[in-house]
Amino acid sequence: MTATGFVGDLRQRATALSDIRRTAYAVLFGDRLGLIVFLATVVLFGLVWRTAFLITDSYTLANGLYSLSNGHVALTDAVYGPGLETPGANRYGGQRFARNYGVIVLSLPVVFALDLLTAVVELRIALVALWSLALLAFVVQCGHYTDNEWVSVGGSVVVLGLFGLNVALAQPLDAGRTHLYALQLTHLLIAAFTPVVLYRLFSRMRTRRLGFLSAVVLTAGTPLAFWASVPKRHVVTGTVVVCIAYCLYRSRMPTDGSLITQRRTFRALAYALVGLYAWVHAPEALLLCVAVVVVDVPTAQDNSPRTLARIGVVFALSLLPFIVTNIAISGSPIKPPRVISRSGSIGGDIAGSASGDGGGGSGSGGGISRTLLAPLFTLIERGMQPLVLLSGELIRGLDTIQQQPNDVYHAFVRSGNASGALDIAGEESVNLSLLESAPVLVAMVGALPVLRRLRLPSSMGDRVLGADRVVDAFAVTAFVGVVLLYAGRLPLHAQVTARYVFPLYPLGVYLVMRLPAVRESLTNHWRVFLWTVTGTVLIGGQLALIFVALTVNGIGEAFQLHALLGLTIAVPLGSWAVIGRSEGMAGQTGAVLLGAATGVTTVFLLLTSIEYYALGDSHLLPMMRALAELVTLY
Amino acid sequence: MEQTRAVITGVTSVMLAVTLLSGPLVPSVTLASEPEPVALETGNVTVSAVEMPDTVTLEAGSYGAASYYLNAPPIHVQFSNRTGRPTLVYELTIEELGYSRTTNHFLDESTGDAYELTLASDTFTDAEIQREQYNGTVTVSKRDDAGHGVVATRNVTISVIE
Repeated sequence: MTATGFVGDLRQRATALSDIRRTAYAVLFGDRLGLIVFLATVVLFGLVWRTAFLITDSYTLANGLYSLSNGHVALTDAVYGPGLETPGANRYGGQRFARNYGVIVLSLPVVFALDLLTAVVELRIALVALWSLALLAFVVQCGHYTDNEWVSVGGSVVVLGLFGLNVALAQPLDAGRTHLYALQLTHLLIAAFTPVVLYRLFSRMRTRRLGFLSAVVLTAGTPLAFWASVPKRHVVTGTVVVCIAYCLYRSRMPTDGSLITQRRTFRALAYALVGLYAWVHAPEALLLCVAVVVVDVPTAQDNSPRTLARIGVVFALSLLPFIVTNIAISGSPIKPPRVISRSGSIGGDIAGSASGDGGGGSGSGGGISRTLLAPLFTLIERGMQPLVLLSGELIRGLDTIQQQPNDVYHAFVRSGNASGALDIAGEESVNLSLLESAPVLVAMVGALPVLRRLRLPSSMGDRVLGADRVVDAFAVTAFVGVVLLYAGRLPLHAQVTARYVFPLYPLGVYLVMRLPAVRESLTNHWRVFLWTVTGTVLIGGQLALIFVALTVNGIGEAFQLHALLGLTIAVPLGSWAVIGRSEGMAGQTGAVLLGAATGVTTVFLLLTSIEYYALGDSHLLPMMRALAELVTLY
Repeated sequence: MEQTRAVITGVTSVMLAVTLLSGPLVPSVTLASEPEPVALETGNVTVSAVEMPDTVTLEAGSYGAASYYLNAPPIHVQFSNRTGRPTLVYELTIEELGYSRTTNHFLDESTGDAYELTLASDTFTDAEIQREQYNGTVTVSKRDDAGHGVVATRNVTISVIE
């Protein structure tokens, strides 16, 4: 009792602190349900967190973080992995550098915090305690939300039990690998905001219920949890894309927030997010930048030079960390520590021909003006070069779609036994297509009947779009952009779940949830939907387990089994979406199909982290490790 | 309300206290410990009967998986004597593919008089498998206090099943 009294006292005294707390709470989570979504996601990600390297690219980031935490920008020691020559490491002036410096810098404080923890407590127990505290917070928030004290009390006891179980099974965690854990923790926390922001977007657009359901579809129905703790750019892109959508929405609505009181601030924030993301992965940031400009500028109410200048300044400021890093590494402000095309050759060709054309054009302009304007031309040319490269990539993507429809089919619909879809190194069929990874996205075909009814603005006077339409336009533009950007690289290798096109998962879920049939079916039959998800996971999961144990010989077959299961659900769901009815039985059917498609992915995610990619049973939580050791399927 | 808060505070403090106990601040308490290392390849084993497989297959992956799966049936062995923690090894060699795979089995007190030796599954790409049949060798060997020794060996035909 004295402890609670003390806490109460503190709370009363520190009103200023509590104001900051309330603002931070509102800015980060919006409301209690947003916080619940966040905590639930973090707890789920913690469950499937394996403290090992899934992809060799992550060595580069871990070594980059190690070097930076010791005060060096360049890579110094190969603390992780076989050496410094890991995928993604680039050479400049005799030194090697990492990439994705944005997340490396964000992970710096986490590394220091973890190192500090290691000095005082056993790291495994500390991380187990952190996970348990997140679960406890989740339980308590659920108790508040449902206004039921028993939820809090019962939940707390269960949390204590789980904590005890984990401590009893605990083995020490290698304290020398804090850079990896820090990167994983940063990515995991960033990933947890994808469903939170999607929830906030839909709860403002429509209802909080729809917001919550969209968060469930995104978290349980797409491979978000699989990539959450993998130090790669993918989940970061997903969060950035959803945040941009949210900012664009708020920039068209009257403001009511405590921190941001003007809509144009949100508009500038959308651009700032793009600029900051360039610090992680410049080519994708450029694509997003184009998507934002193309959608925002033509549809905005106010495009006065003053407003545009203000946005330009904010955007330039947000690019500062990116530019500073580039100058520190390559000496050029726009040359990121990774060029736009990984192979380099095709991107290089395009750049070469583009500069050649530019030279020819200025040559016809005449002698004196050429010498006078030459520096200006060079400057414009240099500034345009990334855009030229990007359009080259997009055109190449379009070409691929026309000329290699088979590769497109393998990447987006059915992976299967296409030898081209196989991993070069592995030989197993573990590269699932987009649809196999998230069958719920098939509902996007429901857009076809909606598009037929859609009226396009008939005159320039109609160009100012409402908030909903602006976000729709951005989602469609970004979706198409990401498809084209990566279509040129088909067939893709070492994907697992079509990871290059990861932003398509949140964008796709957004577009699916915008369809009237989906929205109404889910809102009216949300209990049916949630029960179907639960049933699919609990009952379908066990059936899948038995099926895998009896018929599967290896990871490739297991993945293809899950792929076929997903596609089996996708067929009726797609048909339902095309018909697009949500009244009565049709609505219930839709909720069941959406729930089943979501649940099938969850089963895949759980089995993947427990069995297929257990990564040497390196689960953070001892109870998950014990479960993985117990389960041997092939 | 007060009681709920007390429960939550209690649970939190227990977790924090346990976490503090785990560290070097309280050196006498070890909460997370490595599993005890066990001495392997010790003791003695005498195999009285071995039942080797007749057929080993390479099966095209089901569910549309683009690979061939090595499917070697288990070997049944019987012991006339087993003490300590000896190791039995199942080895398959396919010379034409330049391939060899072993799976080690660590026996201990809980092992009975009979044991089933398995070989972990493996995959081949379409490109690697060019013929309908390959010749291979299955070997069972043991490692114990007496050293390493071959228990039984046999040539097998590996048939490819599409």
